[in-house]
Parts: sequence; C-alpha cells; structure tokens
Amino acid sequence: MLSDKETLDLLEKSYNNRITLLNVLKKCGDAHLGGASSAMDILTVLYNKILKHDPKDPKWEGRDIFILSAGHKAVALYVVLESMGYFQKEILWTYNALNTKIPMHPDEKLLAGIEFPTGSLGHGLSVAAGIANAYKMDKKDNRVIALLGDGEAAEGAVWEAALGAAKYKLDNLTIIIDVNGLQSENYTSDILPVAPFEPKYLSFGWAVRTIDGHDIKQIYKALSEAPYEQAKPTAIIANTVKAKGVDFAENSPEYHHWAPPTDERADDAIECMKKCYVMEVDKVGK
Amino acid sequence: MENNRLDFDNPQWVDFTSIFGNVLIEVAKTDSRVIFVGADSYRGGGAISYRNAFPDRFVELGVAEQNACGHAAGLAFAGKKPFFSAIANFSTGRCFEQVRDDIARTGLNVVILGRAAGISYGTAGPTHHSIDDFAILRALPGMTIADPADYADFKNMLFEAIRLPGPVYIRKHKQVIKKINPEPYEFKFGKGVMLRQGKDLAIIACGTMVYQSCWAAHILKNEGINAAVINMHTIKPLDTELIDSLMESSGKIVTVEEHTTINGLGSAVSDEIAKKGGAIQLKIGFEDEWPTDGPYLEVLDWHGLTGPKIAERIKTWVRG
Repeated sequence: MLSDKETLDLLEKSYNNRITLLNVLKKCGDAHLGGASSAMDILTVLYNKILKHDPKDPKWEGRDIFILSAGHKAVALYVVLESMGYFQKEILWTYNALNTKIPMHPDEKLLAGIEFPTGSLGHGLSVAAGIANAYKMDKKDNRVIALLGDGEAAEGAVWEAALGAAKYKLDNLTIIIDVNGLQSENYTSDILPVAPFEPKYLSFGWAVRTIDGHDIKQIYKALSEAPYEQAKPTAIIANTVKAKGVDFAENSPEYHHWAPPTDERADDAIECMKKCYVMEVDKVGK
Repeated sequence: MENNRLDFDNPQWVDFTSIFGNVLIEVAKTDSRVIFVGADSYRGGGAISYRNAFPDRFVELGVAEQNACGHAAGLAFAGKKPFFSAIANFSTGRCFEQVRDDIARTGLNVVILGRAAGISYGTAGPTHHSIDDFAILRALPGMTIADPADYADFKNMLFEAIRLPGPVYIRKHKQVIKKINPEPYEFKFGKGVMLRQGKDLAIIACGTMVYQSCWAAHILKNEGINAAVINMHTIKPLDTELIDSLMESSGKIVTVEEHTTINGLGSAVSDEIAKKGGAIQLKIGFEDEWPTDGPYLEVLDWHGLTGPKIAERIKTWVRG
C-alpha cells in the first residue's frame, strides 16, 4: 500500500510527465495525445515503483521486461524513460524529425530502454508470453509486463496469445489493458464492441482485476500484488480517460492524434493539465 | 562430373517429416537452448520423437500461427533457439507480419520451417500450397532462405541454422530425393554446390528441382547439350560469386524452382545477371498462375517441372 506522500510524489511525477508530453506536441507537432495521456499514470507507476530496471545499464540481466504492445503510445514511454534518466531531454524535441531516435512507434535499435519494436497492434502479448515462457523454463524470476490498448483487442492474435499464456501457466506475465474506450476512428463500442474485458480474460484462464487507471494507489496495488493466483497470468483492466487532463480533448475521438494548431492552444492544454493535477491532488487521502 | 548414381527410373525419395524429429533431437543435444514451437503440426510434422525426448523444450500453441510466431520471437529474445514449424503457407503467409516485425525486423535467430512446402500437398489445393514463400520472405532484410535438395542438406541446415545470427527459413519437403549431394560435401548457407559440370549452359536449381534438373541434364546430354547443374540450396543470401563464374563460363543460365517465377530463386539470379550482365536466362517454375491439384508428381509434371519436361524447355530455348 502506498502512503499518501508516496502517492502524491508519483502523482506529481505523472503530471510533470504529462506536461512534458504536451511540450513535445507543442514543439514537435502531431502525436498520440489521447492514448499517451490515458496510459501515463500506469507508465509512471511502472517505471518508478514496479519494474526492476537500471537506466545506467538498460540490458541488465536482472531487469523486468516491459513490452508496449500498444506501440502508438510510445511518446508517453519516451517521456517516462527520459524522466528516469535513460536519455537526454534534447532527444525528446526530435520527435517527428528526420532520423529521430524516438519515432512514432518504438524501435529497440534506436533507443536504450526500448525492449521490443511494436506498432502494428496485437503482437506484444505473444512476444511477452514467449519471453515469460523462456524465463519459466530457465527458472528466472524476472517479470514480464505488457501494456495493451482496448482497441487493440480487436486483433485476433491477442486472444490466441491469451490462450497460450494460460496454457503455459505464465504467472510471471502481467498485462495492463488501458481501457480508454476510444480508438483511432471513434469509440471502441462503435467500431467493434469488445468490452467487457474481465469476463473474457477470466474465461480464458487468467486472474483478473479491474481498477481505475488514474488512481495511483490502485495501479500500484494491482501491479505489486500480481500474480493473484498461482499458475495464472494476470490481466489488469485499467479504466482510463482518453487524453486525461486536457478537458477539451478528454473522451473525444478527435484527439487520438493531436497537433496543437498554435502555441497558444498547446498552452491552453498545459493549463488544463495543471488544473487537473490540482484536482487529483485533492482526491488523495479522501 | 556425370551424376551416375542417380537412378531416374527408380528414385529413392525421402519425406523430411519422417526424419525431422530425430535430427532435431541431435541438434537439441548440442545446444540446450533449442525449443520446438508447434502450431498443431507436430505429429504430421514429424516432431513426436523430439517431444518424447525433450518434453520440457516443446511448446505447442495450437492452430494459432500468429501467436506461435510471436511466441517464438519472445523465446529467442530471452535467449532460446526456437524452431517454429507449421505447414509452409501457415508458418510464412498466415503470420507474415509477425515474421516481418517480430523476427526479421529484430534479427532474432528463429528457425522457421515450412512443412510440405511448394506443392507437396498436391491434392490439398491452393490453401495448402506454398509457391510464394520465397517471394514474400525474400523482401525481408536479413532473412536467410533455404531449400534443401536432399537429406544431407536438410540435416546440415538444421544444425547450422542456430549458428546464424538472424532468422532462417527452411523448407521441409514431403517428397524429395534422398541423396543427391556429393559425398563428402561442404555445406554452408549461401554457398551453392556444383553437382555436374557442363559447358553449354548452367542449370541453377533448389530443393526438389535439383533432382529434376539433374534428370533434365542427363536427358540433354544424350541430345548433345552439356548442362552444368548447381544445387543452390540458399536463395538468400545468394551465392553471387558462383553465378558470376557461371556467367563467364557459359553465358546461358536456367533457373528451376518449385515456386512461382516471381521473386524466387530465378528472380534472385536475374538480379545478379542484371547487375553484371553477361548471360541470358530461362526461368522455370510456376508461371504467374495457381497450381492445379492432384498427386504431387503428376502436378509437377502438369506444370512442366519434371526432368523430361525441363529438358524439353531447355532444348527449345537453346535451339529454338
């Protein structure tokens, strides 16, 4: 259980990350604002409190493996990795530039800290399960954690992988599904209804919890207590708000991507984010 | 050298699936990282003996090739040496994006096996034929693509594949000549094997077509045409040095493959000829067409891919 102080500290980090994210958009243009902001609290807790990792030794054998299956959220991951000291901040301002090390979808050959290239949806869980299976065979205790989107769940390969992970009893594997309810073109319920996730994963043989994906304490508790059942992989269904913190963009299909049309509009978004932070701080301890 | 030991009236065939499990056991004994990854294909795919020998190094993921392929990539990421086996079209085409993004793009050493490649499943129809596996895989940087001509090639490939740094695709034929390589011969991915000398033209073939090409060369000799035959067991990387020397020696090159003539062995050879000049080429394979159905050897013959038909095509090409 996180103390209120620890929670506030993580909340501050998460909102600083969100403001950095908005500055990336302000300076560099179009990025996946919606999914990046919905996943930011999860990524911040993961890298600050859950994952065993060493920014100074990104290939450290003892590290846990994080796979960003929803690769389009990479801009959020870059911001978090930079905040942890994986690379210099200047690199963030090369987003969208020629020969950048931080392309729209993550590339492990370009940037230390990225474990596996993703972008096309529905790949990450299979790969994560393969890694987890190898670690089981070798009796290694490294965890494997993957972040998936809810729109991504339309890919059949996700469910192939879910079955395979259950068959091999991969309790060293945890996935978090960022259920923000929207995808590239519209609401997920409109494009292809895939919710509810909990009964689906339960019936696939997983241990499941549903949480508020913006509640730092719930995120930490869910991630730190996994696996919930021996011999079962863990699915955390995180209900989130797309473009969390930018009130004019929240839950709107128009903000899957966003390129602020003017610096002033980007600054508006940053102001919204600061106000949201204050409201989130007020909730802690209540 | 004349390939005297081949008996074209009574060829000795081998089904790679019947030997696969035992060879993989031998490979696995040399390297504890070897893992078999199946997609409901281990029994027919010949891996039962391997499963019995190494039950803890055997992963079966069902009729779900996309997942099996990604899972194999994950195993390789974590240091294993996975052999992912399924019917050729399913281990390449069905999961092409996983092969591309998770295996080829990352450069992981996953060995992909294409069971019953080409038209081995003669009667099973186009869903089970794979005459485009080289074509799609050849476009992937860093991919090694191999088509074994006989048992020795196949065995060597399984042993050598895990010594390569990146991904490897190996065809696993159902009916292929048991022995056609000289003994001893040195196997190396990317190095063709000269089976027969001939000054008039050179036939470059892979897989099952190496035998058919030797048969064609045997027929052509009686017609006064001396054809060299090369077992080009690796389509990528291609033995360009050997092709350059063949261009110099005869200037006439024939390529033969159990594959579409689009972007397979023939196209790879064409690319080299186009770069250097110095030869004309006859490409033999499936034209831009869907193969017909029927017993394997009859389908081959229907499409002109047996020794006598190949010889006839070459004779017409040479003499007009």
